[in-house]
Amino acid sequence: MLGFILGALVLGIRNTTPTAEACAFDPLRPTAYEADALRNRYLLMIDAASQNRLFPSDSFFRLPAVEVGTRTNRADGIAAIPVEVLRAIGWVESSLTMASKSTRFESIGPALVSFDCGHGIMQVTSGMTVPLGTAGHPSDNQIAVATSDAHNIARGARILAAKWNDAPSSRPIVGTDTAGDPTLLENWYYAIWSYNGFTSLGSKKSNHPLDPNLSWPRAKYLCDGTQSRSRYPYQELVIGCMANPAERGGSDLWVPVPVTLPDFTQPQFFNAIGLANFTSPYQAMDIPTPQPAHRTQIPLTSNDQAAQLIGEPRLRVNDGSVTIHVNGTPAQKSATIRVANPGTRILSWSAIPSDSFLVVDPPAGSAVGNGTPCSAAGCPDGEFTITINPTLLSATNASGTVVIASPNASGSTEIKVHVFAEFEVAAPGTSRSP
Amino acid sequence: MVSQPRLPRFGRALSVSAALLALAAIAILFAALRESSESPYRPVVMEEPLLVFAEFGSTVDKILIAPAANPESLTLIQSVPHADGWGINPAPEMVAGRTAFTVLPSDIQPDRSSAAELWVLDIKTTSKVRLARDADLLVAPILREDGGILVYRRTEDSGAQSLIRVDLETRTRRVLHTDQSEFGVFPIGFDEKGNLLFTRISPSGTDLLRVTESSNLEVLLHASDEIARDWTVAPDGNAVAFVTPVLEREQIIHQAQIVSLNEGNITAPVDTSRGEQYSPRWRYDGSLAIGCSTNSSSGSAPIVITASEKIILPAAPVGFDVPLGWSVDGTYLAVRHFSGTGSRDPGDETLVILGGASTRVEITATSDLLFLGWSGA
Repeated sequence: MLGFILGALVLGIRNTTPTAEACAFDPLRPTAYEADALRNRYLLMIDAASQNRLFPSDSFFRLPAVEVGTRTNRADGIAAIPVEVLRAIGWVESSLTMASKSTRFESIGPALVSFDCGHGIMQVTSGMTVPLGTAGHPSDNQIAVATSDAHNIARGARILAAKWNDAPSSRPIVGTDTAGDPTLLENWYYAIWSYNGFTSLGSKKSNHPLDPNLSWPRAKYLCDGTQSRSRYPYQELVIGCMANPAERGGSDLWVPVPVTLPDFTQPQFFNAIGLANFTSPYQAMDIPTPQPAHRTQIPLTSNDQAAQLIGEPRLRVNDGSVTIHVNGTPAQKSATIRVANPGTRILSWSAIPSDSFLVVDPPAGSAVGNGTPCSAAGCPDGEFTITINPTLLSATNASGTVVIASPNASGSTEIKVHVFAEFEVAAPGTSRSP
Repeated sequence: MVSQPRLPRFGRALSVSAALLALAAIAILFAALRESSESPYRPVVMEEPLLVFAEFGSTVDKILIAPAANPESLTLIQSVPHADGWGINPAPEMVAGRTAFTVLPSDIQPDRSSAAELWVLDIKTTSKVRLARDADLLVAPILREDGGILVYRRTEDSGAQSLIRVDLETRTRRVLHTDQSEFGVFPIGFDEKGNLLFTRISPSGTDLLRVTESSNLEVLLHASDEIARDWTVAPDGNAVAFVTPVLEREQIIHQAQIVSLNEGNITAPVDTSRGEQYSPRWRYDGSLAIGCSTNSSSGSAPIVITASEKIILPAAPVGFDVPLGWSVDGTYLAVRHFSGTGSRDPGDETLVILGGASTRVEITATSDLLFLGWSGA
């Protein structure tokens, strides 16, 4: 035993620390506004997103037509998804939070970014792994996904709708007996599975309900923090949360819906999900609607309400010019710029430097406008710091610009940055006296 | 779509019409197991049996022990911090006072595909040691009978899956086998010579394979055209038991199967009139416990098959039991008890100890309990 312990202490472990994939803002992290602890703002936005009311004219953030029908008669339906599914996915992904755990509610803090580049409430990963803007900077859409709660939710809703629409060309259908009706919650089983990856049995990311790594049988997921997620496929986590909403402020966050899972003791479900059928386009995996089925309750939401949630953010930056002394006092070595939102709701902003020697941190963030609670330190303005990477300076005196712009407000501001880097250079072989 | 297992090396499984012959084979198999289990694997029971289990916490799992006869007397022996919401995934059984588990560390964003850490925990010393940081979270590691070797699974960047052998004394690691199968490979145990047994699941079903220390690979058995699961290796390493799906009265149920690794014959030790069967678990003497559910309103109890008889353990008033593991001396059986009627409606899950004098004792907790094994000390 002693040898075992000593061996364990002495011998090395292969350094396989999980490495983060590259993300749109790496190596820096944007900031984001975290709304109220009761999730009222997020839930209202989810209501609106489910009915395509947030950004109906924006091709990147609007819902597509959600298809209806079976494999042989699929056709475009209306642009709407079940709000119940979207809420529960948001809860499973982030507990409905936009910023990191260290951020207080109703304040601004580091945005929630997972190691695999999942951003924000809906942990949007698609399109967030590399900067897609000009000159290696994030694009406006990426900035909006990372820093604007409304855009993040809208994008998550669009991705979920796209997962639904992947059937029948590359995903199976639930609802062969109900015309693939997207208003039936049970029919979203494969789309929910796909939101986390339509992964096969046996893979390290398996969401296959009959994976032998998952215990069988298993009690339903209760979504109350008493069960390990590793014992459930993703879709059972989401469906469990639909039936067992979290409680905040003494109330359930939503009305429970006991969505029915496919019954794999029934041949029609078991055979469909059989090993030989798990091959693209998965047409043999089509299944009827698990019964009893539950229809979505369309939320009471309006274009006006959606417009109020989005507000009319405006961009205002005061300083037009800053000077940085690389070898100056600590206060002279950097410049801090505040980004204000004299409008309403949440402004997303980005700060893009013209030259590589200008380091802007954070590169993007949020600023809170009038009428939106923001009580903690740092509220309501956004803020970024400009510092210099002297190794990339080509001269002792240099200048550049930082352009502050917004994906959800018009206009932009340019900050001129003057840099002085007057280093003392010693002759080789000598040293300075102390 | 379900099918009976078939044996490429030994011919097709016995048909239903050969039931009498199958029963005879079972008797012979159990007799052989009992005989061979008496010398090398008889356990040394040091003191009363202690149940070792984990209590899930959102960010920290507690490792606890409890005397089987007095399970309310809990002792906390370790805490395992982990990524929020993602608890440990332990080896199915403890060996030589050790358990092993995979876990997502707390400092990474939780996701099932993240590289998990692999730890081994010595129950007597309560010390835990990290062995690797590249394990597949969902695949439980396994320990060899002597407690000196551990095998875990790692997914390579290429997507291939490797079964890694870890020598717990020297901490050296070696790839025993790398597999490119469409679905996956799953370590299940070791044969009598210490060779690794694992299953491979592909579109054609579940196969049982053996890989030697020198990485020679041998396909032993085609267990099912579907997913064979809940594999367990007999204490002498000469047989395996598992469950496979079958169609019975227009429902899919699982049925236990036993295979002698020496003779290759498959037998179903309990007929399907006992309903669905779950998680066979061997006792040190070669007896086998199998969970059963009959989809009735009254409780269903596990069956224990010995060399000479079938014993039905005490049932709860309602629900059914899924065996987890026998105590070292064979007097207690830990089970997952479900309050429902069967796989279709399992109900709530609790950890229960079945013991002598028809006792059933539930371990109470406010969150999920995960069986790690039994310790004799």
